[in-house]
Amino acid sequence: MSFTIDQESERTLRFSGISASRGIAIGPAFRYQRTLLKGEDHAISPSEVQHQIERFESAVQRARKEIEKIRRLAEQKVGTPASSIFEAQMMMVSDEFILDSIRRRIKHELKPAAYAVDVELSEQQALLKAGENPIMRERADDVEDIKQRLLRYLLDRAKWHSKIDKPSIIIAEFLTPADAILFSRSEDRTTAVLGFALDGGGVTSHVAILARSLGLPSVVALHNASESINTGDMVILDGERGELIVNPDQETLRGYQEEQQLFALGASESPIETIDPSISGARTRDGKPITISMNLEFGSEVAIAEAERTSILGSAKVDATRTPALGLGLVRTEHFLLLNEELPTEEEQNALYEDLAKRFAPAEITLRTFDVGGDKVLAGSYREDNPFLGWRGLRISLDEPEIFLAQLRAILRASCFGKVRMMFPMVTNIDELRRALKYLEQAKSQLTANREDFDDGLPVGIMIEVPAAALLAHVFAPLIDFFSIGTNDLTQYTLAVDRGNDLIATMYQELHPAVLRLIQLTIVAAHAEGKKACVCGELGGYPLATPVLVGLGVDEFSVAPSQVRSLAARIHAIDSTEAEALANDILKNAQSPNEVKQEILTFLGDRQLMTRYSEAIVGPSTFGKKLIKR
Amino acid sequence: MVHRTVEVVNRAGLHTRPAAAIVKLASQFRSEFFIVKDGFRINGKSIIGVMTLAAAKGSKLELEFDGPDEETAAEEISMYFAKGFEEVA
Repeated sequence: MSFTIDQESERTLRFSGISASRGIAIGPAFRYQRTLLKGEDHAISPSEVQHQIERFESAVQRARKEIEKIRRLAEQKVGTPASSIFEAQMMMVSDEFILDSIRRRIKHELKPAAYAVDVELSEQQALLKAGENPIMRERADDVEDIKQRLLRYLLDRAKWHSKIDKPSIIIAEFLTPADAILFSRSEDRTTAVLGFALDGGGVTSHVAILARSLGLPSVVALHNASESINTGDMVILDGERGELIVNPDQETLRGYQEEQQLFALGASESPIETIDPSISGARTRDGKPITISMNLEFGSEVAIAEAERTSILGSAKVDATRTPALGLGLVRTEHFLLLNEELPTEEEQNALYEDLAKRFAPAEITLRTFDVGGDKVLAGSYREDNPFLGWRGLRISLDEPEIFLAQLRAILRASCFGKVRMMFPMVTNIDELRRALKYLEQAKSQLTANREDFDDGLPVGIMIEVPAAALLAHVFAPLIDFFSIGTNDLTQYTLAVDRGNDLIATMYQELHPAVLRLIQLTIVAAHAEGKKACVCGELGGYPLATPVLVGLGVDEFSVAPSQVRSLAARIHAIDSTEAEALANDILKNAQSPNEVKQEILTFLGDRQLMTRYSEAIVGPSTFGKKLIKR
Repeated sequence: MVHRTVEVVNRAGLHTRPAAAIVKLASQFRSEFFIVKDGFRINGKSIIGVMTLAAAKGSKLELEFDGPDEETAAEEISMYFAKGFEEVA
């Protein structure tokens, strides 16, 4: 297993996709190609019907046996909620109505079993793909799995090669859920799958769900990346940014190895002692408490966040009813708008907010009012030339008081069912905040008039994501209860870089000294008024950023559920006084993002944090460590 | 024969898990069970059939029950729709 890169090797290729499961994997590619089998159309004589029916029945029996085996394997690997995917597949292959229809095609249309299976199931797939529900379109893959399985038996083809002989990153046009489970079956670290990179697929596909359950970094929607990659090519799979890099240069590789090593921290299965449930977060080595909460985007993430919380609190053996637990630092409420054609009503919103408040009580949930462009709120509204600098976030809410008031009431009403905080996105100007707070007062009076209960002291905060707001944080601080620093937008707006633009993507640098200065201004302004400062952007989960953010005085980190443990472990390894000195030093001396990075690496290196991490967490003789030692 | 009109109320719509649950529930009854959506009629005891409805949130579906236990079947299955398949919002 050698990862030395041939200097003469091919040029570096980069592909952009969508992250379906976070984390970083580095290793050789395994190009998984399965040709899609088809059943050929020809007529059979009536005397062959009986034989074809028998072949079909035995193929169904074999498929059932195999799916049952995979289901058991999945149950072992990922537990019941995720393994139920295969229970549904089992029901599909036992669907008598479909099986009967296939039998009829053989008997009455005089077609071979393979053709009958292909035609019938392809028709069902076409129906799934034509439907209005995007989630169901992806389920056509499950039917494909069954169809291919049956065709393989009927056409006497060999088994697909879903075994690897060294740790590899699977590169494929598409994978079925069964492929994902079979690739991950090895318990042996030396033949373990490291991640999945797929041309097709979506983040809600069953493969993506399984990848997250398996904790394997995965990137989907890479278009035709697989065509350009051969088994054995060195690849970096970046599930943090949704990228795939083939034949990386030494410098890129080194950067990712460092990042990967930091990510490995806290990923161990040993009991987590670094999370302190009594403070809903972690303590630094010298005992400074820092709150950790979670970001929530899609409806399906509720389950992920809940599971992560239960598993962490469960392993810490605490009475979850008495102690505050990991809450939600950012709930993006706009997914309502993105999934529905019509505006959600107050009742519809309230039902979701109330449910979240109850589920996470006594922990806090932070509901951010709608943050999308104008086209999402009002159907048929005009397209803007520059939506990022356009009508979005709080600007829309203030222009559409009825929509805004309905959302404020829905949030307020949910506040008596748990601990609810609220915040406004895209604030640039104190007048906007004043107007928003006036609407909040109006919403409260409306509820009072209707004798509806709410928490009058519900904490209100704003997002700091525009440089203007960071520069004037001291003006905003007296009016609010907390700041939440959205580092993604703050970085984009400060550096004038659209991170979705491939041409300049490398210029999107969250550790730019200018961004760090704005974060510092925000935190200082918050603390001067006795208010809290939270970081809810991706920078919060970025391993290298932890020491500098702790040093700047961040009170709360809100990160993806999967990052909670590793973040807690990193915080626990840092001394807050030393981190403060590091932050001051960086703000004073670092002139470029690279210098910032270098200072942090030196800081970690001097304290032997890197080595300690790798020994404690990665463990002896593992793949990760070999990479690091090189 | 009993007819019921139901609406899909959960956010994710009628996806795989609820489809499987509906089929399991329907299989406990002797009555025949069909679902009609936009003129498209499928057997409610066929999981692939129910999945192909691809019913999103807000879709209206016509349920048809025919058999000795049609009343109970109609009651229980409409209830499952009304509860949003026991999912969040």
